[in-house]
Amino acid sequence: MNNGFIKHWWKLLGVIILLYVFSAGFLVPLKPGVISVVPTSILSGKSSNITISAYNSHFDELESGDIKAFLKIDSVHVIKAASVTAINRKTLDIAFDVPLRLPNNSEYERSTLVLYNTVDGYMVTPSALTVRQGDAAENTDSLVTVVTWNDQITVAQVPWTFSFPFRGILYETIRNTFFHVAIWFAMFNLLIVSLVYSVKYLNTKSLYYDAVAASFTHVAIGFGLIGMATGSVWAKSAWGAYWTNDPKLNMSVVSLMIYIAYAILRSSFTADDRRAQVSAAYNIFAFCAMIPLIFVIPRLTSSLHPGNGGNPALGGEDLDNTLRMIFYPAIIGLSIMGVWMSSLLYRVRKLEIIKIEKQLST
Amino acid sequence: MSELISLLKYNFSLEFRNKTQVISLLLLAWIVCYILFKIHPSLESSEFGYLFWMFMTLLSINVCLRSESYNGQEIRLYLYTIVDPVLIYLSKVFFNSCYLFLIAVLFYLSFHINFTEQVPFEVNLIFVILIGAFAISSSLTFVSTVSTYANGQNTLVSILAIPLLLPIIMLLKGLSDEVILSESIEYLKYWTILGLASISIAASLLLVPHIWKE
Repeated sequence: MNNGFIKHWWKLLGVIILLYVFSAGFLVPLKPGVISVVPTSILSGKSSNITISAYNSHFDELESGDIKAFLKIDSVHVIKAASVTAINRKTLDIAFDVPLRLPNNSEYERSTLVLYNTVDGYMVTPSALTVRQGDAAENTDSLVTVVTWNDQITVAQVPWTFSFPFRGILYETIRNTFFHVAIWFAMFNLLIVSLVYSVKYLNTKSLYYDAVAASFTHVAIGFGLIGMATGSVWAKSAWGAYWTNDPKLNMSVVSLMIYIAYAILRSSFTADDRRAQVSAAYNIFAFCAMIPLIFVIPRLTSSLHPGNGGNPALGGEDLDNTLRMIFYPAIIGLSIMGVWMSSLLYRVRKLEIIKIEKQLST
Repeated sequence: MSELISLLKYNFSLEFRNKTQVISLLLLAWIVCYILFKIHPSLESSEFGYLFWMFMTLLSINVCLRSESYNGQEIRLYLYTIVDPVLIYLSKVFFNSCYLFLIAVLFYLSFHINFTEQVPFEVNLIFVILIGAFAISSSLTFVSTVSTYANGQNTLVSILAIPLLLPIIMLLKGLSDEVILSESIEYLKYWTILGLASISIAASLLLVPHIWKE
């Protein structure tokens, strides 16, 4: 019993990590954020009321004076709300007195809405509201009050809460980072192990190494399929379609096909040593062919998928420290699961090799 | 180097000794083009790229498999005793790219003859075909070498080759469209194709000595 625990502690670790990832990944709430602003454009030179609906907010727990609202026209011009009324937990009524003339005398400005209260912290919505310059504005001199950003908002220290960032378009699906992205990372880890064992096989010609490489590749193919399925579901919610003609998507299908071809290649041999030799060589070749397909070609063209041409990922606001607290353990946990699954497959193959060796010796 | 040249000569003489095979491949390219002319005379310039590279994919699998098939197992063993397997492999890559280039140019010319308006003669396209033939043969030769050791099944070659060829074919299709529609050419695509080809050649040169040993 004691001995078994020492030998298999990493499996327990993997289970614990995955339990943490699944429970925290699904249960931790999202930070509050603004879902809709009605109307989306207002005219300058008059007082306008806008209604905003927010997600996960706590407006009813606050007095109306505690909620502050600002309209950021550009980097230096900010309009403070004239009045803020909380209608219910999720709806606010805000009045802005916009001066007639816009700062650069431009036709319209896309402005950022900033809400702050002590419970929810900051809610920043870029391009939330379009301010159109009213008629005959060129003749007047009443500019938007020039203020610096920090003068208007006394930057309050927001207490840290265990919550995921609120991102437009993504909303709750940001949790898929722990499953879709992490499972691709885990797949790469498994493929690297498989590559190492294929090289070991070619050096030593021990059939056991080839069995390890084959087991890891088979599990990695399964992980790749799951990664593709979770990505497809995510794409349906974020892009509106399960599959798009995107370089990253095409190339990941191609590399998965290369590895499925590896599985087919293995099954087409009858002699064990020939199979091991050729498929080890093909495995190394497949890995070399896959790296430019997934990491180079999609970066050369524009792509919808984050992490490619003009579309950064895993940085900035997409992956903040709270997400990292679950994302990195997810990679480790899924990799451990992959290693465990591969070791089970390997034990079957090992028994087959031992059986053949016994038959040969008798 | 002299070994490489004599191996190339050996490959060519083997291929052209069997003249019906060569002529039948060329005839196939011509017939495909002529059938296309008959059933779809209103072909547009933008359709040329994918039709051309689609048929080239199928033809190239055929060509690369044939260069393996006329060497029986005994002849292969004999060859490996007198020259380095890496050289044999390299000669096959060059032979396949030359042969593919020849067929592709003839295929393109027959397109040009049948659809003079829509498919103009462009020297740049010959250059695209040259790079394409080299890139296709660099990964396809390895795959056909692998498949000969797996009892030389044709379906296996298609399964192994098509995912490797797909990105190259996609890039080549984009390049030939740019040439035919006389848009501005993205030179990055040339470098990407050459990079892919050089990676597959480097990997296969490392691996070939391990494969051939029985």
